[in-house]
Amino acid sequence: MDLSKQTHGDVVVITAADPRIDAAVAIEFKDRMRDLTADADGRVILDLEQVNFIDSSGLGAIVAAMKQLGGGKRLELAALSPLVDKVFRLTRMDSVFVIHDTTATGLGDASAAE
Amino acid sequence: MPAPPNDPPDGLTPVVLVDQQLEASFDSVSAALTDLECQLLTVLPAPDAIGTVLLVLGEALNNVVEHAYRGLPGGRIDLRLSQASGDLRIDIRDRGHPILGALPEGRNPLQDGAAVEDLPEGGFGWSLIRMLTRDLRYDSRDGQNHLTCTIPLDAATPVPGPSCSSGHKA
Repeated sequence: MDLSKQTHGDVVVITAADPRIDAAVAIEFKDRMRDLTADADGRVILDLEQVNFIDSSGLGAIVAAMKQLGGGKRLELAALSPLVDKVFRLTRMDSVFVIHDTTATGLGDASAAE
Repeated sequence: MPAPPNDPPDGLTPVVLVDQQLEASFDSVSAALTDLECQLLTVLPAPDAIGTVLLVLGEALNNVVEHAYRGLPGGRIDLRLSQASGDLRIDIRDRGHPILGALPEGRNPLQDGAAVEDLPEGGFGWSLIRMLTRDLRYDSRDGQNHLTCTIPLDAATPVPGPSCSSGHKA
């Protein structure tokens, strides 16, 4: 599971560079997210632009990654492909996450900060 | 009686698009879906429905891996996709543990207003399958479990599937 981390001010941006977040990589994804966000005090944006498929296990792993942030903090998502967006809408999980069109707009959206 | 191969498709006789066996593992399902997306692009009359088909297959096949073959290594899954009258029919057969009783209702496990720490991390699979398919049926006899459902190709919400090139790693 190829995840990379960048810091923009106090915002951590994690970029997923694999085309799939599915049952085969769900546990690895969750563990890597825990490592990468362990010291994140501010907002965390997960950039999904390169991800074109997600299943319910992948969705569960993204939910788990949000819980790991602690303190009831909302994980922010950016650049959902049509299929990924569909899974979030069908499960109504689009109401749970802060979703940005792109990471750039997410970074400029100060109102997303709690 | 199957139609002779040279008959033009009449829309009523099911045309088998995919007939394959795969190993019951998450990795194998993941690889099979990656291959299928390209295969389906060439044979499915409604390429926009491919994303929906891949979602349903992912949930149904991973259910078999996770539940039917729990504790049973080396299991195999038979997958067949056929098309007739504007419907894509999915047939999935395995020889693992049967589902006892009725199929899960597939209620969305998300409660309105749930706090972050109470959000569900699972339980979405059957909910997705039920929302995206019709004629969902399951039976288990003589040691074989058989799940079948259809996806109406006309009515399938157009969602472009992942593109072949980006879905494959060199």
